[in-house]
Amino acid sequence: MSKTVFYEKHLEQNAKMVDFAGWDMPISYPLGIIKEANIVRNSSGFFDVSHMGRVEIKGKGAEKFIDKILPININSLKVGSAKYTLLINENNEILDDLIIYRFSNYFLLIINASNTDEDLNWMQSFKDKEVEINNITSETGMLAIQGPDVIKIFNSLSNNAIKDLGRYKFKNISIEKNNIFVARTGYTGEDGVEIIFNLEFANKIWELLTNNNVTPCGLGSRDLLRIEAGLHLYGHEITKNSNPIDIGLKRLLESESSNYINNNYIHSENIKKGLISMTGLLVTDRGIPREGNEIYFKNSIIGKVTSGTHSTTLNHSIAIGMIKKDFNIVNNTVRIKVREKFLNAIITKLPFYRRSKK
Amino acid sequence: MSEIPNNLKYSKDHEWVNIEDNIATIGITLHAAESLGDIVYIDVSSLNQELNQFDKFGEIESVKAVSDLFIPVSGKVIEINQDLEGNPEYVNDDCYEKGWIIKVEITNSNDLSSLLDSSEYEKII
Repeated sequence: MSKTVFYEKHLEQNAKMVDFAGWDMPISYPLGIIKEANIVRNSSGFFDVSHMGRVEIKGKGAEKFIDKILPININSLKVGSAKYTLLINENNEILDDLIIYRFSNYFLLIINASNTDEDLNWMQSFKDKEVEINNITSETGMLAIQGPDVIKIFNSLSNNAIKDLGRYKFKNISIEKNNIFVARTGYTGEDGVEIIFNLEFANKIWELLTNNNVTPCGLGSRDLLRIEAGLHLYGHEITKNSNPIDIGLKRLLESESSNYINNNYIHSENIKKGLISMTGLLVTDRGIPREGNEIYFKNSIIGKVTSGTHSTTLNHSIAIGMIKKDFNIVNNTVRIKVREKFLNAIITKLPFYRRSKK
Repeated sequence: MSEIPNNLKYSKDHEWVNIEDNIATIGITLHAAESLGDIVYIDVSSLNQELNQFDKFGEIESVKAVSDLFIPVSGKVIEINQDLEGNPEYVNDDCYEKGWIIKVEITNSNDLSSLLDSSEYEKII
């Protein structure tokens, strides 16, 4: 199994380790998923996300290549900005969801660990001589530092280096002579940053964060937080055959470029005719819906659960599911079949949780 | 290393039993609680229900997993820990005291011989 640069730290902290897409990763530390999630909601926590794929697209043809493979409006992506988007292949299959970052003369893509090899293979098959694709995943470490106190703490660690950094913006800064990429992005519904750095800086940043009371949190709490925040996870809400409109991601299909390989597809009438849609489910009974559980309205099956967890922020179990569009009516009660029991749930608009803006 | 009090008996399904006269107090071991992670729901059989040894008597659910609970001794349910409904975390924080789950009146004391003592239980985890 692959190990991140923080592997020894996780073991030192007695983390419970699991296989995540071929990486030996911490699902939780002894504090446990719920306390870790609460820390991120109330103060600050950090996650080792070094398993995520980090790929640079460079060369003279980089801009044209990005315009060809992603559904973004490339002119609206300014240098120093990031954008969430989808990688869709020539068969209209969604290979991944990712964040693209634009530097002055190249691009960085952060992709899912589980899809890194397939994404790279596909991109390689589409590139020409003027495009260079560098997988820098193993040469760098990456942390997501999340929570309402994070910006203040990170500014104090970096001599106010991110004082003016807006949401979905990024910059390169320096901490103790180490060059660090900092983006004001995240996957928890909280404010915070995601940072990328050279392997040599890994021990130092771990120490700086823990000395400033930023708590290491595992992938279990990260999943709980992203479900509360109504954020998609590839393999759950997004699959190869998903229609981007069904899963609520129509806004990502912004390209008007005839150079984009799926230009016809994203502007076709067919894509608009989806029959299912994504919904939040607030469970009013005791029990947690799990992926694959069937959702019923009266006695008919109307869909399936894609993710479920227990939210301590809401003090309810919650789930995300895909259901037939006609039944996606906020405040309607549905039933979810969990093992042999039926749990009542209320159709709820996503996200379940939205942070208060200061 | 999980704590295993030597005054208790254990089942292979990771329940502990504390016997006082003919009353058995039952919970899950620290090893089981740690494996499950944060527990959020505990649903058990109703009062006065009569159960045979190793019958399912409920379910315990954590953020990540669900597990069946099996009664280590035959008995009639005489008390359920009501505190766990509002504070399921007692099972994670203090599984042998505040995190007890159910009390039964033992109906077949022969069942006790099939349970493990602390050193036998330690060997299977």
